[in-house]
Amino acid sequence: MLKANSEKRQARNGLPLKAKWRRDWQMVLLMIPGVVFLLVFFYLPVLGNVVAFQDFQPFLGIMHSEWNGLQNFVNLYANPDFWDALRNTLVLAGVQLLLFFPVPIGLALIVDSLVSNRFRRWFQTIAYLPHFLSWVLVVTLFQQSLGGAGFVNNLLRQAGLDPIPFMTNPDTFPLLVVAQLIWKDAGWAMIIFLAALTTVDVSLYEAAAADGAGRWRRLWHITLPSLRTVIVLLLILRIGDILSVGFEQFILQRDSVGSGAAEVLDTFTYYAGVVGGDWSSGAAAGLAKGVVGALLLWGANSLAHRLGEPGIFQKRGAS
Amino acid sequence: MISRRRFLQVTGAAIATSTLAACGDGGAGGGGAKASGELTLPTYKPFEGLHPDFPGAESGLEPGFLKFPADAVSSVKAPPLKSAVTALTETFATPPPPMGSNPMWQALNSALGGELRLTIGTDPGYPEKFATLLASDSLPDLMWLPPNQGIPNVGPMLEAKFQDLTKYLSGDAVLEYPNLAALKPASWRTAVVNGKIWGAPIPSTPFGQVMMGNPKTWAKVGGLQCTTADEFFAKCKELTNGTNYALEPAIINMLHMFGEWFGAPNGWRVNQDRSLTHLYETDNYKAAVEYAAKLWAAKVFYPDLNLADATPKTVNGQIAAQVVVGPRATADFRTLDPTLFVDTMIPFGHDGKAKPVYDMGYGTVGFTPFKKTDEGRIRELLALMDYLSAPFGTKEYLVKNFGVEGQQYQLDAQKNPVLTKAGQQQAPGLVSALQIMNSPESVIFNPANPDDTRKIYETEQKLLKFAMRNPTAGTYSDTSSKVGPKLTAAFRDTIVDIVTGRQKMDAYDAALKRWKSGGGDKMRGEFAAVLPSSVPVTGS
Repeated sequence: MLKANSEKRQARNGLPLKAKWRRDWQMVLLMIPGVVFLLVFFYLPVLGNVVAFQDFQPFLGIMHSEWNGLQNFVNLYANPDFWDALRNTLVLAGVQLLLFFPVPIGLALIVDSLVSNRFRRWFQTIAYLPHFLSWVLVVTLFQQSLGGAGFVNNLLRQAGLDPIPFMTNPDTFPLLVVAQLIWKDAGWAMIIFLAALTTVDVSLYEAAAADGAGRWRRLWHITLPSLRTVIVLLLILRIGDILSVGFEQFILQRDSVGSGAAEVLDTFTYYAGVVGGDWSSGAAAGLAKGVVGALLLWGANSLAHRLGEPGIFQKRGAS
Repeated sequence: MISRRRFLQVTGAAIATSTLAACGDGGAGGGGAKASGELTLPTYKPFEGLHPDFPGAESGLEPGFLKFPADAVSSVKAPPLKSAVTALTETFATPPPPMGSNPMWQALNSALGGELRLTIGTDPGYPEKFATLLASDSLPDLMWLPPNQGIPNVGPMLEAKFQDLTKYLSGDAVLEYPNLAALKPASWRTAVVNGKIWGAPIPSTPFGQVMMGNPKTWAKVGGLQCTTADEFFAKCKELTNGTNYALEPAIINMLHMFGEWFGAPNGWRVNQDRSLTHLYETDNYKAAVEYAAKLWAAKVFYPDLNLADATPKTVNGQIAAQVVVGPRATADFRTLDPTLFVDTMIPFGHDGKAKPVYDMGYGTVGFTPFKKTDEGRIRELLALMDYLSAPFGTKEYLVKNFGVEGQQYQLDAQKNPVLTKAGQQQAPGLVSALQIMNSPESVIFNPANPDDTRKIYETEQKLLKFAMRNPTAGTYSDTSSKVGPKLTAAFRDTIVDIVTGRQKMDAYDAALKRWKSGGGDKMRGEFAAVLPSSVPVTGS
């Protein structure tokens, strides 16, 4: 039995453990700092989620706070603000997925088709620099140009026209949010697609061109299929993360458009938990969000497998 | 010393973005007593030997000084400390240079007899810092506890972690600490929770929010003062022009002012049968919300709701009026423009006939409880509190607020202390942090412009004619402490939606219903049950 097992393992890995260790020990060593980082800052704090099942009081601590079972989740279920926040989150995530996700792909295709190397590098740099600005700066920039007392509206006023409430209209808030997101992050997200594009075999294009395929046909039959794996991978990651639409961007603009439009799960958690002192409700909302996110991630990945894509992780031997 | 915007938050008035409960708006509820009947408040013994140019009064009128008393006297006998003390506090100015490179701080340490190691939080974020430190279980000796930044469950928290100081301070016991005995009983009520005293209170101006306007701007329309709400509306429209606006975009604060003109109560109204009606439930407040919405629709508010501090814009005339705390805040405008003395709006009846009210403030910025410890240490910390509460006009007051003569301050021609260049760098952040954890009773003092003191004193007298105090001030409700901040925040979200036209007026009643069922009715019951008989029926 034992022998059969070890044989099986050997067959699966190809090499005995000892040989693998000899081959990979430097790699394992290099991984340690990363693993420790993940453990300390991601996995250990996960344990703190127990406060979701307590009536947590910071002055009593986790050890002495009272347990109250699922009461926090029941309260959450009954709280209309939570559902509003969830609805806003989903709407915003949907709009982001629809309007933001394709932009970096398009950008990458444009940059890739640029002939001048110098211009290309210049464009790339300009496109991804805003990623390094904080949300405070980005929102301020938008405020200064599109806000009620901003550049555009002051111009309109001087021209005797009515100002346009770009920043304060709750109905168009999702569009504003996506516009900010595109301005800030599309260039950054483009990089990964650009990298994928460099792996496309140039001879494919040459062969297709020789066969008389035009620009669009080459794009459709060669470029996009080569990007498909990356696109699906990023799409799955995005779906797993769909309930995290951002925090600072919303907390900064919450007063301008009202909580009805700008309260998302993360700001709800902050206001209920940290500011309102109801830490347990906040933790419960956060935990619920995490569980749903994990399920979505798993679901999207399974779907990708079913469509014949590798997805983000695979069952051994699946590929 | 404390900047206007920040001070506003401390004293509890919410800026558009802030999450605090406002003074005069029923959100606050940290102090007071469930069993205050059994408690003897510390004996009040005012500081002798001070002769203000304008006397203070029981009504809340602050004593005014034209000059700093010559030959400052000493109010403590010996340096209070034997060893270092740690404390959590908050500064509302730029944080000071650290102790090691701050001669003023070092001078204070040697005057105290031990190091005062301060952890200085900044604004916003203090409640979060407080809560995290609390959860960490390694508490400093002293932690400033603001009454109105929404720190929840104050009662059980104090019992679990902090020292009951009743036997050291109640009745005549306080006389051992003369500067603490010089704090008024009204101030002490802040530091009483569950019938016990938990620290020395930190008095601040007893006045609440006021509207201030730049007289140069308002001159075009005949001045800031109005006699009807319609007149104010017309003036605002006239002042709004191009990129100039009449009002700062702090909606909740502005609404508070309008409420006073419409006769809305300060937090709660005491009815004939001694039942309570909350501010939000009154037609007066609802009328004020409608009025605010009308002003908003007329576009007289500065259109960027995220504006952090309107003071510079009021000074340069781009905004005509803003809301600040207390008539003394004229000094903040002087700092930016030494030639400017801003006008303070005196409340008026909305139709020219109704009686307006003026909401007095909370009167303190909370208290500073001690970590649980032994008697020797308690006495040492109390002596420190005594030192840092030294009244205006004493040597200790100078050391705490101005540093050392010749180094951080000099005496000007009128013998008033004025900060030197070094002082301006070392003092503000440190002084703000010290003032927020301990203060004597407040005075009006404007060393550079003595005449301001006289004018502010006059304004205070005018405001006091309409003064109304929150009837629940100094009492305690568990529900208010636990869910009050959350309920207030949710209700205000709706109010702001209504004023800015995002929701219709009918959303008001729905929000009110949620406020009541979410805990508002429970709060009413708890406050009514402990309503002191000395509190008069509102409007009587």
